[in-house]
Amino acid sequence: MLKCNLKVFIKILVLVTLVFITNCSVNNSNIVDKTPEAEDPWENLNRGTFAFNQTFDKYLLAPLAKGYRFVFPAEIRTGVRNFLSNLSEPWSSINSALQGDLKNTGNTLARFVINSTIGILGIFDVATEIGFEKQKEDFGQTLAIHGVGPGPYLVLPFLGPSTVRDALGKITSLYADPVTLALERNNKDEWIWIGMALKGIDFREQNLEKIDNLNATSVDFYATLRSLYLERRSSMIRNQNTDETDPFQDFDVE
Amino acid sequence: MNLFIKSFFIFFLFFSNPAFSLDAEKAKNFVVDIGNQAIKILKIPVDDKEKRKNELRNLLQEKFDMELISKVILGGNVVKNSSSAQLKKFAEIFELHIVKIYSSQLGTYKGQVFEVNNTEIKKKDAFVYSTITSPDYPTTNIVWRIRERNTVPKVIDMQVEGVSLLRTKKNDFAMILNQVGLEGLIEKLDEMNKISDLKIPGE
Repeated sequence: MLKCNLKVFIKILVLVTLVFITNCSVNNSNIVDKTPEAEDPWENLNRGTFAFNQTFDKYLLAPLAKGYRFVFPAEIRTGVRNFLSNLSEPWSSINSALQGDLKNTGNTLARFVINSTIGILGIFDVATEIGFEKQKEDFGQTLAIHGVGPGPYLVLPFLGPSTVRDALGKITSLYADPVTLALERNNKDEWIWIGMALKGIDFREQNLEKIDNLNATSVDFYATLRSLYLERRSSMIRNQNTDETDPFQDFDVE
Repeated sequence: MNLFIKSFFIFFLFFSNPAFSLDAEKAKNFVVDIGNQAIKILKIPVDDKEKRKNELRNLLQEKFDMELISKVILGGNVVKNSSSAQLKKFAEIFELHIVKIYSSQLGTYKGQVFEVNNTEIKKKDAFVYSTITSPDYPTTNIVWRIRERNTVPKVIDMQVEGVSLLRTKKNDFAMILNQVGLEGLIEKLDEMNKISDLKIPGE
């Protein structure tokens, strides 16, 4: 009888312990972390390029962005942004088609036609207002959709965070983007670089406080930017099917 | 009798896990509440930085499981090899750090509208998909990961435009944790928390 009671007691003890462990697993060290490590085999080189970019930003890009904000009113800056953004629509359309996304192929084409005409050369984003939402697609995303992995993380001089695949996408756009090709054909190559520089200044102006504050509140700004870039790109690629993907699929807490 | 005891404990095990009582509607309402509180913070004048920070801190304490978040960010190995006093100190400093980050990144109110679109329950968490729309800015997508903790729903991670708060901070702290350990990280964060208030976007 005593033996039987002892058995029951032990069973109860085991079960209670089990319950306790189940409910308190997050309060001890039993944390399952499935976060993939960022693939950054060239970290030393990347950190060097990052330091160069930081200096470039400090002495040239940020002051230019501040000057741009000071001289031009918000309406003009928005117009310039819209104009430059409109020029990227044909390339976005081609990439959407290469990805098999016919909906966005039509959407980007419609955006380009509407904004180039009614929107006066793209200065006004009329298309968004009438329901054609912008969805930018580039060649890096196209490669990803067809199964090309990102490869190692790469910091590009002047251009910042990238991966081998995305850098390849950028290079391809220089040779295949219809707007770039048209400018080259008409011997107006300098406008390609002017456009790129303007895009960079505009981006920095839009994010002056955000980037500076992120820098000031990061222990390791290089790692923070790497994380932001890789996650954002991954999300842009996965956006093809947002509802069916678990946004935290790579990261679990048990 | 033996069967009765077993059945009783299986039943007890099932219902004692608080995660099972989290439903989609409850999670949705919880996030709607957070959105409303966040909009209220946006409406606080930018000059009143102290009030913004206090409200943000209240929101974090009330709605986020900061203890769990801080432990996940440190990772299992660091948690295992640190004393509870160190972990407590880190959780406090980390909370101030998060307040510093978000009070500097939250802009001003320009007609932003917060909307919850759909909710999914996966394993023991609810994933609430929401958007912030504004006439001046592109739509921002936010996914909230909610877990019931002691019968109360709490945010355990949030993903803004695909970027997870947990993963970003985990990566941010990885190098210093490797080089100088938790004490070094606490010291660094304490130092960073003391810097003067940053300029808010739109200020």
